[in-house]
Amino acid sequence: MKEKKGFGLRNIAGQMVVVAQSAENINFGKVIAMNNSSAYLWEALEGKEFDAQTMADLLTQKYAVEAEKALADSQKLIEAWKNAGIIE
Amino acid sequence: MSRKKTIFATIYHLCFIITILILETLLYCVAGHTLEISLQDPQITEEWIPSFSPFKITNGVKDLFSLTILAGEEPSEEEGSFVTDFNVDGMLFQVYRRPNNGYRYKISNPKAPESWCDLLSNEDFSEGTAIMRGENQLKHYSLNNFLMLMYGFSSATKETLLFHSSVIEKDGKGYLFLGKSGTGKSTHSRLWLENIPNTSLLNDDNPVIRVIDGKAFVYGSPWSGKTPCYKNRMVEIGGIVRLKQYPANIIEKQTGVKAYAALLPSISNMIWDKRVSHGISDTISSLATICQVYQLQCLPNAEAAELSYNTLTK
Repeated sequence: MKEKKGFGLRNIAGQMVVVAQSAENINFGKVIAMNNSSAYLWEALEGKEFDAQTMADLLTQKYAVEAEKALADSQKLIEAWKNAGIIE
Repeated sequence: MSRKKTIFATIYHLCFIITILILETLLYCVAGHTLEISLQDPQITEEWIPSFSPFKITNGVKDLFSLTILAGEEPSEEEGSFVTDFNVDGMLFQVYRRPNNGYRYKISNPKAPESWCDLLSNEDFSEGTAIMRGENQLKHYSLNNFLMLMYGFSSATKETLLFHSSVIEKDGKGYLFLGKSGTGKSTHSRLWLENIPNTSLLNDDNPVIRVIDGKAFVYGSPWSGKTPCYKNRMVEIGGIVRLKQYPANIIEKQTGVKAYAALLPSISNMIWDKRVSHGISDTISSLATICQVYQLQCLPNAEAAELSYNTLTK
């Protein structure tokens, strides 16, 4: 997986969100809300090829979370990001 | 040449220069921002922009932009690199990035693509040149839109937004109705006017919003869509309602990111340009925090107007 080009993280009304920032995504009308850990992952994964394991490793490095739980959460997050249309 | 003649010649030239300046450079103050329009296409006069006359000023210092309007004889050669295109009101807008990092906005009618009008701006839209070609209808449409583009994008970093909405004034407060084209913004305004006493229309299409010292204000503007309502006045914002057609009337408060997302589609943006998009995004973010924002799913009836009125003013 990879983050689609032309999306960026912004702080909106006190909340981290991913918004479209390039002409190719001009019709992307959505604003994707991120909690702290998903915003951290989004930033850390910028420009990189990743899978659920890459994400889980990043999570266990930063948070006190078990590897198994981190992997399950990462798989869910990948699905959510896919549905939102911000990764490919 | 004798000294006397030289003096006369100098005076003559000075008068000539002053006359040109007075005749051709017009100053306007829209929502407290001053802009300058220089008419150098002999065909295009002040009468072409009648909606600006309530905003005309005689003295002032430009703080937003100056736009020079020229008659275009030949197609401009400078194309720049293509960024994007989109259709509005059946007209084609094409956007190019110029070699100097400024923008070129080209407006044409897809049914008559042989002539078009160009807006050539610098990077922050503080300086622009409009090159007018084609039929009067195209020129009128383009001029109006060039002025909106210049206004919206030069003010993007000044906590100012050109906001696509219809605004009702009631008891010194402004209430804004937003929604996709054809949703019924003007209809909802009309329903307020018909059913709620002491209401008036402030603007029906593109008022200006400003955040000043933590407060949000709405201003009348020279752009009001099909309704000629060009009021040079301002009020504090009482509330903002995003409308959606629905078989019943339901109102729901939006906060935080949801409020932001409700406002976002109502502002012309250039998401690929960081200066503009971050400026606009920061202002919408402030608005979403300062103002009460609602989503109203509604029918075009009196009950809808009463529901939004009662909710916003309770």
